[in-house]
Amino acid sequence: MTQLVVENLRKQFATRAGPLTVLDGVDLSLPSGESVAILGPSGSGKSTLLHIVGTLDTPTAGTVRLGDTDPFALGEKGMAEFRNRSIGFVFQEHYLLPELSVLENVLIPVLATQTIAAEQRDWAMELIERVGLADRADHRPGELSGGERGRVAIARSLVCKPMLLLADEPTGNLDPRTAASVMELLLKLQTQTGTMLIVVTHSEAVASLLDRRMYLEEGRLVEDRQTAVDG
Amino acid sequence: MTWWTLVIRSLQYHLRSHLVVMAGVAVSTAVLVGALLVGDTVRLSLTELTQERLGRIDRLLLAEHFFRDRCVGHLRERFTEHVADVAPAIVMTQAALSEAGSRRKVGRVTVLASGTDFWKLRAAGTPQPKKLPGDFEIVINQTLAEALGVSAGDTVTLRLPFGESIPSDSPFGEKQDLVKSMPELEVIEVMPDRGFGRFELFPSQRTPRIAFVSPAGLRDALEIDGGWNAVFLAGTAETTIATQDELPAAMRLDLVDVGIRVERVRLEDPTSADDPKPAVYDYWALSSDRMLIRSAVDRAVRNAVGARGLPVLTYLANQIQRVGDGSAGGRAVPYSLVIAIELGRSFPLKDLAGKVIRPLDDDGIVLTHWLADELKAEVGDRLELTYFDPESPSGKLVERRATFTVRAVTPLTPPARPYLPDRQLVFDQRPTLANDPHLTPAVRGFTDQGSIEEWDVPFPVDYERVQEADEEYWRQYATTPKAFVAPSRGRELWGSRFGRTTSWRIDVTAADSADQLAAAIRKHLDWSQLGVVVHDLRARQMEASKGTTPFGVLFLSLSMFVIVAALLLVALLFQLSILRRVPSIGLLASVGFRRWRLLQWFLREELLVAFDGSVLGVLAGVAYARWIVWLLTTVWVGAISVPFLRFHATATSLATGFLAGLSICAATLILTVRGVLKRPPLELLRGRIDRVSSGKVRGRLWWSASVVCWIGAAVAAVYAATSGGMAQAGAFVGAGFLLLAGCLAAFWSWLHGRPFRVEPLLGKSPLWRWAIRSMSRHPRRSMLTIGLMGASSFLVVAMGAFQMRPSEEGTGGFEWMGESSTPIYADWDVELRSVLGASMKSEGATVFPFRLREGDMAACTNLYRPSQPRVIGVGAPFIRAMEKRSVGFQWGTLPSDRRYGDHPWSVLESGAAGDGEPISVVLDRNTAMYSLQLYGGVGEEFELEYDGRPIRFRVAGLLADTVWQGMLLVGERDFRKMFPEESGYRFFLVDVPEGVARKAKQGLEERFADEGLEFEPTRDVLAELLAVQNTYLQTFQALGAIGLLLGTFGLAVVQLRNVLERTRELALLQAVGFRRRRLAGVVFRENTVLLTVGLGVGTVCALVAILPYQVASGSDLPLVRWLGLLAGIWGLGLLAGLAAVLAVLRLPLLSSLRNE
Repeated sequence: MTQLVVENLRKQFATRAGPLTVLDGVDLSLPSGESVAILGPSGSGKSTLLHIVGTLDTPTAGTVRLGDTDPFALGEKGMAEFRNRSIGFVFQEHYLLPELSVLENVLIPVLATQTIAAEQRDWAMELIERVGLADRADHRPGELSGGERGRVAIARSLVCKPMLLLADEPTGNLDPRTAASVMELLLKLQTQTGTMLIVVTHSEAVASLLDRRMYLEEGRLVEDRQTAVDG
Repeated sequence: MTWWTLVIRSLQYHLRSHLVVMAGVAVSTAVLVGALLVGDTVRLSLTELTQERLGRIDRLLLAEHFFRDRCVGHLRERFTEHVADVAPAIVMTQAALSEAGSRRKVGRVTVLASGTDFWKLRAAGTPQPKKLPGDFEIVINQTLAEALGVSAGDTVTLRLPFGESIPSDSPFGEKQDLVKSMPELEVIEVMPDRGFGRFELFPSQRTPRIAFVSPAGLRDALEIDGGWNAVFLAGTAETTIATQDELPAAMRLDLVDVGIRVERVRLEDPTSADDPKPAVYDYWALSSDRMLIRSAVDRAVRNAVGARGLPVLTYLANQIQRVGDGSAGGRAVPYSLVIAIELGRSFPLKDLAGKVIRPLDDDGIVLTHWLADELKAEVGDRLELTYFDPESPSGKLVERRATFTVRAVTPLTPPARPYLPDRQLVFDQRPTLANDPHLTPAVRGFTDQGSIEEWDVPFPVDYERVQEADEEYWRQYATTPKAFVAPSRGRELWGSRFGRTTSWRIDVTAADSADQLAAAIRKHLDWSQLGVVVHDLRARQMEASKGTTPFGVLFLSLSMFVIVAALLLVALLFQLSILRRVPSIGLLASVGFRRWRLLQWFLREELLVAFDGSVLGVLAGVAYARWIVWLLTTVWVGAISVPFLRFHATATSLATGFLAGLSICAATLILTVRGVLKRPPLELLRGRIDRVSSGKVRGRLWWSASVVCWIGAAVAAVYAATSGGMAQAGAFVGAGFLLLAGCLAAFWSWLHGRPFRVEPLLGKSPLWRWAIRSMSRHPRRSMLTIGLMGASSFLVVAMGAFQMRPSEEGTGGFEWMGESSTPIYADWDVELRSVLGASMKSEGATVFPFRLREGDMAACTNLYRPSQPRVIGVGAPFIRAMEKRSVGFQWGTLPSDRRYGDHPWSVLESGAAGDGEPISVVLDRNTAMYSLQLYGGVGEEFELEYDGRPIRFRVAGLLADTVWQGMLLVGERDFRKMFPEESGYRFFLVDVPEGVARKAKQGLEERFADEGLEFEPTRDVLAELLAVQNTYLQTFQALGAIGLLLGTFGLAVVQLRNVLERTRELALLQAVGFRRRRLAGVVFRENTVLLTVGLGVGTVCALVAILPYQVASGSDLPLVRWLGLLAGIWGLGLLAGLAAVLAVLRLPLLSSLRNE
């Protein structure tokens, strides 16, 4: 079974006052189809962990392995392909390209490595339908609400059928109702596609929707007792 | 969806920012295209001018001597085979024209006398006279008419330089009245300055003064029967027949066409009873109408007849007398012709005993019996000969003496009746070999006169010395020599640059006829050395029209600052445009887009933008070039002397400019986007692309660099203080530049690590402190802005130091310089006394005459490439005077030989070491570098061709920014050797006390009006020469100001970008109570600080650099102009900064806090 294994992950930043250790031996194992919420106070390193796992940042030490692949052993080309093929991102800011339509925004990751075939276009449309924006496929991001943009971002994150979905405060800018619907959609799609999901959030409510909850404390991940018991 | 969909969507969505980038690209391309088109315009205007001026003329055969009409006929016959046109003409340069009845006159007029054949060669569409001038008519061009102030219907007098055949520098050559006049000519038409209306031999963009007259009228004035001295050839470009070697042969030029006569001289023995009577002498006599035979002819004769030819040198001894005891019964015999000839087998002169006299040694002399009797001299007696120096370069005859020992006396038979040149010699007794008056060549006014009293010669004759016996001898024997000397001694004493032979005595067996002998000699003649030169006018002038200055490159260099500024602006604008898209780029990178794929995307997008911008730039470039051309023909006309330009554009330049603009801008865009794409996806997602990569370490490094620059500036300043002239200006500006570099490095260091604090300088105003600190938020942007503003303001101000004004060192302290149409031989002390009065003369008025070889003006005022620059022969009096003068000409590089350390002009006196050795030349460094492309400095050797002969020169010294620009200065000795045919002085420098300068000028011009003497103030001449450089500097400054203007736009862009990046920060500040106006004030202060620091640093460094030089050179500072310019730029910069302020006022700040 494909799984994400993070072992003894360390991350330090150079500052004027000296090196600052943000992650100090993080271990995490996530089997396929499972979701985990990572909680912690601001500055605890949640997003840093997510970015390292998503290969947007590099660790100071430790390993990240997704299935059989150690992405940090790949070159620039291999890592970009790995990210494209295996990882889907949902950011708080959504980062939609304003000049493109909803459909085109969803399809954008496909264009990174190949030309767009009808099959992929159909899949993108299906995702758009699943996020409930079938009638807005030709709309530009500027014509969408915050929640709708979030949905587009979710559809985009899944278009390449990734093994691992990473969401950084996906509902941070949304009102509770919209946030709940976006999270619901995310989990539904995760379940349908069988991907692993890591969500970084401050929200206990959001975290409660996921299979596991983990806290980042003093640079280490700590399993929430409740989920451990539940698990 | 494809990549192109992305590109097109992106282009549409970011249209506004793309348009702005496109405008930047258009500016860069426009400047590039414009510069290239200016190059096209200058080059093609020169070519057009050349083509229009030459019409169909390809070549010109120009001869010093008039050749016969039949030669033209032969040429025509020959050329019909080659489908070429032939037009004979009389061409005379350096004529003078004056208006009848007034004192107005102008010199340097080229006179063309020709028939309709000539006008058939004109370029299509160019004018020709409505009627060819008759014998008393003249057609002149517009420039000449304007210079003289005459129009059709007026009457003028044309003065033609027509030297005698005998060189003026020799005692038998005329020194006065070298001008023939064509008086009372009616101006029947004033021709436009187009086509043949601006024909000239030495190309220049200036319009020459041209006069057209009738050939017959001109010949009458010159007192010649017929013939031409020039043939224009058209359609001969491809024919080999029209070359220097072939053309004289095609014309069947003969010896007579270059003034050489061959005639048989035979004297029979009247006492012989034989029939036919035996000859006493019978030979072919070859002589020249210039008296002395050129060495080229000597060589040809020697090659043709070998030992059968005997060279003869005849010279006039002013007096012969015995040495020591003049009272021994003899007397001093005046005016005796002495022959230098090899005695012996070829010329078996016998003594009184009938014994053949042996060849003479150098000390030996053989006297005729008559002379020995008069001198009462015997074999073994010492004699002294007095004679004029064979060359009288200054016009003053110098009498010299030589002593000989009498080796023999030869009998001379009295003729039966007096001899006259047009009569046969008649004897009733057997004559001797010495009875040969033909050994003396015919000289008009001398050999054709019946008595000494009647001589009409250019040297003074002391008639008091002449006794009846002398007159009787002349009546009886005329030009029969009285004495014979060895040829080597004769050549030593009387040989000169004009020749060492006066005739050849060729054995009669050498040829059956004079024609046969002439033909044999012709085979060995080098016609170019006899003044028959074929000028490949078209090839030479078309080559010259390529110009010395590649204007395209020049304007590209001058515009480089604008181009760099525009490119920086493009980079800034593009960065601004890309800034908004950084998170999107981050997103794409995070979803797996490789850098290369993203680069491809942006490449496609930006290439389209650059392409469109470049297309626009080409159109704008055409307009820009037209504007520059307009400026060059109006405000900047000093750079090209006369407004002759017509706009031209070639497809090559348009394409080159387009591609260059496109490539440079695309490269700039790619570099910019590459810089962005190198950032990690995470940074891009966070929108950070301009961060200081390291802190205090780099700051300290740059601080050290700035200290090094300042030390360098100090060293340069010390060097500047100890040097002079332009080197001083250059060193000061170098020091200023290093100072500026140091300041910029210090600023960069401050942005990185703040090794020093500047806030206290600004008092306690928190907003100002804030503004100062904001500069280090984006150090690269701040640095770029300040660097651009600083460098451009530095250049605009510092270049002012190179603006040159005529200086005493440039004019050498001389008031006037002048030229005459014909050589002037004058005692200038006498002339000045007569003009100024004796007392004025004693105040130091002096005229220095120079020899002049006409040629191309090799100064920067002539855009044509010179191939035969004018040459000036500098005489010893000038060199001696320069050793003593308190004010002299400024030297750029002194002669390397230490011998000339104190007296550099003396380097011209040494002369070339030997035949074929390079000739020492002094020239202005501007002439050396810009016109002749000599960059090797003193010691560099180069070769130029004059009259078909290559002449090697060696640069002996370089003058700096003097009136000598455009000319090669050689020693007079070398000049005479190089150009033996150039006699007399035609170039003059006048030094007169200021109060009488005008009087001296007018007096001398009137005195030598016939010679076409004209003076110009040296300061005006120098100012015109310096105007070229000054205009380029102005151009550079003007274009630098445009760069500065672009810099202010760049500043606005930077500010706008800062504002956009800080939207949230500003919104937050508003949220905590800042009013919009206060926020706008902060942004405005930031802009003001950047603008003021940039302009201030550049200006202060420039002033520090140039003030010492300006003070040292006593020049005025154009402070008002600079301050006005800088204040204008500062004001514009502030206005541009308002754009950022307005952006702050208009931004929906608070909503940005709510929105993502």
